[in-house]
This record gives sequence, C-alpha cells and structure tokens, in this order.
Amino acid sequence: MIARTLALLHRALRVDARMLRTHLFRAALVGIVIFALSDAQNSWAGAPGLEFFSWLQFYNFWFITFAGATFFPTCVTEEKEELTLGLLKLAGVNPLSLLLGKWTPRLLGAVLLLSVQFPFMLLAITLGGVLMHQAVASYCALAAHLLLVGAIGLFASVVCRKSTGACLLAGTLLAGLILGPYIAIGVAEVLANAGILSDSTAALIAAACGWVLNTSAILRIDAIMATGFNESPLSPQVIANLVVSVALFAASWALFGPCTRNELASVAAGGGWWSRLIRVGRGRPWSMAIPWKEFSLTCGGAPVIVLKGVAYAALIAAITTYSALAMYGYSNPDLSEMLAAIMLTTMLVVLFVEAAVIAARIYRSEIRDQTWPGLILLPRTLPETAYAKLAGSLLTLAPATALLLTGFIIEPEYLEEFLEHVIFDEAILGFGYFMCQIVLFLHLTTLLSILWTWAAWPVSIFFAGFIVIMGNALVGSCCTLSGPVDDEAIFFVGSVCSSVLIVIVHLWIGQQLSRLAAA
Amino acid sequence: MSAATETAAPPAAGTKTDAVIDVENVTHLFKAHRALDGVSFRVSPHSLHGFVGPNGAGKTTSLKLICTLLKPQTGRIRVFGHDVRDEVKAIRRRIGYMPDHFSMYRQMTVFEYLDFFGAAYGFSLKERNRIVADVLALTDMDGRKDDLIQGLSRGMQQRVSLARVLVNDPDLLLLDEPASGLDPRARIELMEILRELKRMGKTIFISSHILSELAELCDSVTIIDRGKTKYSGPMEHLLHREAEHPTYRLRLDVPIDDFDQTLAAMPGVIEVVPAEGKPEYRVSIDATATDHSALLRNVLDAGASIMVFQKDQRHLNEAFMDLTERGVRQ
Repeated sequence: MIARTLALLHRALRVDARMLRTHLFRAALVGIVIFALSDAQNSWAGAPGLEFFSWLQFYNFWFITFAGATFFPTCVTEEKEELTLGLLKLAGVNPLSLLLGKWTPRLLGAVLLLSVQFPFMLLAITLGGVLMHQAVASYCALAAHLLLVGAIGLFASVVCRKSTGACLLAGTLLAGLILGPYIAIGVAEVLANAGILSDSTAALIAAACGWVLNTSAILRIDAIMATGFNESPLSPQVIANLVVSVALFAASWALFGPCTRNELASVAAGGGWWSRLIRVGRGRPWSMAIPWKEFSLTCGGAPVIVLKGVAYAALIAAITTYSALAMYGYSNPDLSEMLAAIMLTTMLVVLFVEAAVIAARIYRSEIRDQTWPGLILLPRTLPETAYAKLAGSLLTLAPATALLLTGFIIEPEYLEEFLEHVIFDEAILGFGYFMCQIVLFLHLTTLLSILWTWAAWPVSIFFAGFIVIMGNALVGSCCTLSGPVDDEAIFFVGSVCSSVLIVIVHLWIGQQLSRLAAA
Repeated sequence: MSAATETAAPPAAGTKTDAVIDVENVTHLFKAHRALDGVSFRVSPHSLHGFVGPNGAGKTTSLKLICTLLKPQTGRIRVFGHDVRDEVKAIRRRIGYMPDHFSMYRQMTVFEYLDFFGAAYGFSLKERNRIVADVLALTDMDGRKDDLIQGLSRGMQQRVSLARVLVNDPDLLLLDEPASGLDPRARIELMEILRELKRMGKTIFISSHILSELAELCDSVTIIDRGKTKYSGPMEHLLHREAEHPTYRLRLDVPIDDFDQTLAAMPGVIEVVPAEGKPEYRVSIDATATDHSALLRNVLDAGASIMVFQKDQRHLNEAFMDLTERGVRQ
C-alpha cells in the first residue's frame, strides 16, 4: 500500500514541480511579502517585527482559508470528472492510498508555498517585538488550520461529484465555521431579549459557540501576538483542529466507496435534480436563441428565477426580523426605512456575487463541454455571440435587481442621497474608481476561467479578487510612499489606468475565445 | 512519385471556377509545428469527397480552416468562391461542420437542441417546426425527439449531431470522422444517410479512417500526409492507376500442381504471386512484350479451367499505404 501511495505522491510532486504556475504563485507570494515589508516600513512604530509578523500571519490565515477552499476540494473530483478513478481502482490502488496519494501532495504543496516566507519570519524576529516561541506557536496554529481546511476540502471532494459543488460545499463549511458562531451568538441574544428564547438556552448556545471560537486559528493568532504571550504551542485550537481533521479524513475514507461507486453513470446523468428542475416550463427557443439558451440552460431559467426571488425575499425578511428584534427595547426603529436599507445592502452584495459567478461560468461551460465551436460557426461574429450569451446571463439578475429597485421605491430618499452625494458630488471620482475595480474584477474572472483549464470557476473568482485587491493595495502603498497626494488625483489616474486594463483584458478574452473555438 | 506529380496527373476534382472548396497552397503553423505545408485541392459541387491521411497529417486543421474556425497563415481557401479570411458569415450560412467529438447541450432534448439551432439560424417558429421534423425524419430520430441527449447512445448522438448540421440546409457538409466509434450497424446507417444527402444535391467533404467505405462512397478523394497533399482527384483514377506493370488476378476452377511455375515460364510474365490456400494468382506482365489477351490464351493453352480473370484493381488502403509514409509524425 505504501508503494502505491508513494507512487501517486511522487507523480503529483513531479507534476507540481514541472508546472510553471506553482513557481509563479511562490514568486507572487514573495512579492506580496516584500510589498508588505515596504508598506510597513513607512508606518513602523515601537515593535516593527511584531507589526510585520502579525500582518504576515493574518495574511497567511486568510490565504489558507480562501485558497484552501478551492485548492483541496478538487483533489478527488478532478479524477471523477476525467473518469480516471475507475482506472486507478483497477490498478489496485485502494481508497486509503488514493486519498493519501491525492491529498498529501496538495498539503505538501501548500506548505511549500508558504515556506518561502521563512526568511521573512527570521527578519521579523530580528526587527524585534516578536519572539521565537511566538513564531513557533503561530505556525503551529496555522499548520493545524491548514490541516483542517485540507480535511474539509478532501471531505467535500469525496462527497461531491463535480469540482464546483465540492468548492461550494467546502466554502460553505469554512464560512460556517468562521462566521457561524458569531451569527449564532447574535441570534440567540436577540431571541432571548425578545423573550422567544430562555436566558439559560441563550447562555448555553453562547458557551457552545465560545468553545467553537476557541478552536479558531484567527483568534489564536490574535492571542499569540499579544505582548507577554508565554503558552505552549499545543493549544486547544491545535488539538481541536487536529481531531476534527482526523475525523473528517476518516469520514472521507468511509464514504469513498459509496460516493465513487457509479462513476460513469453519475457523470453521464449530468446533474440529476438540476437537469429536471431547469426543464420545468422551459418552452420553445426565442427568436434570440443564444440568450434563451443561456437563460434557460446555463442559468436555470424561470424555475431558478422564482427560487432565487423567494430565497432573497426570505433572506431580507430574516435579516430585517433579526435587526428589529435586536433594536427592540433600545429604540423605536422605522421599519420601512430599515427594510429598505437591508434590501439595498443585501441585494448589492447579492448582485456582486451573482455577477462574479456569471463572469466565471459564462464561457467556461461552453469550452468545457466543447460546444463553443458549434456556437461560433453560426453566421454571426464572435462579439455578437459572446454578448448574446452575456445578455441571456444577465436576465438571471432580475430577482436581485427587482428587490434592489423595490428598496429604492420603499425609501426614495436613499436614491436622492446617492445621487446628491455620489453622482453630483466630488465623490463621483471615488465611485468611478470603485466601479472600475468591479468591472476589472469581473473581466479578470472571465479571463482566468477560460485561460486556466485546470481550475474550477470558484478558483477564478478567488484569484481575480486576489489580484484586484493586491493591485489596489500595491497602488495605495506606492501613493503613500511618495508622500501626501490628492485623493481625487489618485482616483482619476487610477480610473484611467483601470479602464486601460479593462480594455486590454476585454480584448484578451476575445482573442482567447477565438483561439479556443479552433482548439 | 512526388506530391506535385500526383496532384497534377489526374483531372482536378473541380475546376477553379466551379469548385465548392478551393484550397490553394495553404501552409499553417502551430508555433514551430508545420501542420499544413502547401496543401492544395479542390472539391466539385454535388460530390462526395473523401479526405484521408494518417493521424497528425493535418486533416482536422484543414477542416477547421475550411469551416472558418482558423484563418490560413499563407495560401488561400475559397468556399463557394468566398475567401475564408474575409467572408466568414457568407460561408457559415452555407456550410455545416460536424467535429470529430460530441459537442452537444446534453441537458436538452433532441427536439430542443435542433429547435435551438433553428432559432439561432434565424428561422421562424413555423419554419422550425418543418425543418426539425425533416431532419429528424432524415436521420431516423423522430421516435427519440423527446429524449434527453445525455441518455442517448453514441450512434444516436452522432445522428443528432448530423441532424444539427442539417438544420440550416447547408450546401456543403464538412464531416470530421463521422463514423469513428460507431458499431457496424450505426456505421452502415450513417453511410446510407450520406448517400441520401448526396442524392439531395449536397456536397459532402468527409474525413475518415474507414477507407473501404470511403472507396465505395466517394467520387473523389484527397490524401494528405505530414501536411502535404499526396493525391487529389477522382477516386476512380486513384484505384485504377496503372501500376508500373499491369497485374491480373487469375483464379482457376480446378487446382493444377505447380501452376505458378507454369505461369512464370510464359512469355512476358514478370512476376507471379500465388494466394495462400486457393488456386489464385496475381500475374504481372511486361506490357511491352505481351498483353492480357496473349496471357489469357497461354493460360488456356496450358489446360487451365479459368473461373476469374480480371485486372487487379488496387484498393484504397493499398493506394493509401503507397502514398503515405511510415512512422508517426513528430
């Protein structure tokens, strides 16, 4: 068994070492650390080493969390999608060897990716403010967190049939783990104040959530960075993360057989319930056939629109109820104003997320299913076909847009305020810059989704976001380094530069789509 | 024999003016790899033109160039007189391209899939009803029109793919390995459909590895190897080309001992190749010294009872092997 596991591990490491992208990632990570160093140099006060090291560790935490949610969940699903799992089984590779062989290289790859920071850790200690045992404790906390994220990814990869589903499941579980306790404590408190929940039950929920929060690496790093920290690296967080990781690995092992039994049948079935759902009331194609296809097939059509509408309305209702109950007894809230504010903020976030998902999936599915040449050969130009697809996809934003507009109708003052303070004010430059960043992010997401054939669409969203955020941080840092600069000038120049980048990426997408049609 | 001689010798499959496809000295590179190297051929209207070559010969690249998915780097390609570089829409309206892989919206039913392409080509609802019914009938898929594509067998999916290609009633069909992976029945049925389409006046350009079926089906053929045209012209010319020495197939009714030696001793006979296990011989003669009538007389004079005496026709696979080089292309 060890020989087979090592064979898989060996193959994975060799492939990883040969691929340019891993080396580029490492270079990018070093670049980011150097940038953080130069940025921190400007604002260093009493303990420069601690400040820099804290930044480094928080960055590591979020990098592991976000990248891990897309990196680990594909380790088994990629074999499922390529129908190679059966071949591995036929070669006598047992489930444990397969799990270890596919999972361990990714774990090692992640460790190697982060290992480039080692010299910077020593630099932080030399700069002062942080001690070696703090560094060791924080890296132990991060290692346990990495193992947990990896185990969650592996579990999702075993349970789910496709990489997309696995990424979503892993992301949801991680979000639940990090944000869930805060939400649960808040809700319990509000319900207790409103008399719906007894105080003892609320206290019990708060205690349970407190225990979960104690297992969070981010809080542990926060505690480690405090002055006078002198605890063992083997904290409850480390132990809890290890135990949960082992349990998840065991669950993955146990479920591997049942979840991978009908590999061919499950892939051929191509979606099951989703396929049945989106066929409800699909109707005949419109005269604008491509938007119809995009709306009905890729985005789910009318049934999904209805489901989205109901789900968003329920979400708004839940947040409004929570907010009203939280404020109950302290003030006398204007419910319509509150509802409108919640509608607007929630739907803006939803629109952003939906737009990102559309950007990542719009062409990727055609290219993955090799249907793109069929569309391209219609007697129309590439831009006509590409924009027709976009038009069909945008129809799925209807529920969120309708609710957003409803928010403005309920409270027209918000629209007036927006127009007065943003559009007809000097803030227009800042708003313009912000919108440029959103458009650039969406363009990058689309480009990465068709450029990287290996990555599932959540990966392109993550990396596009990462590039835009880091790019902005770099620009911000450069601006502060050169002394005080006028904000408006920065926004103006930034908007112009972003617009140029958008045009470049836009043309690049067109070129890539044309190339992929003939591939 | 050089490629230039091969292509120049037989009459062209279509003249410059009336050719449906006119490929002229096309070279196409993928980075340093020369996929096509001065390829030239023509396809005449209403013909069924075979396109054969070993793996990596440049068949799919040629097809992608003809159907406007790629632009030629040097040389010129005209389809119905339109240049593939500049008149893309005009060409796309009149062609139907079926790639060598299944590329379908598997979550659609057969009817929805064809209906979608009908709408994409701009047909009205009424026209679509008629067109979809016609192509379903032609491909014998009308009984499965409400089935999801993902549930169909490979042969059925191939039929749907062909039906899709026919939705816009194209004058030219470009089919890349349409019979690959099909069982014998599905293959025979597909060939029947192609014959029917030819009867309907379509020009069909078909790339295939199944040479025996191409020989039976095609009017003309182009053979390419390592990015170069090895032969382009009527199928008949390729199969009946004179070999260096005329060869005849002779089969006796009753076996005669050592008859191969008797044949070899006859005047003008150069080579005798006996078949294994049956009284059959391939006899090559020196055309300057004798002819088939003299050979036949000599055989009868030798006391043989003849069952078959015919000119030995080359098979497409033999011609293919002669014209293409051994080894895998680098």
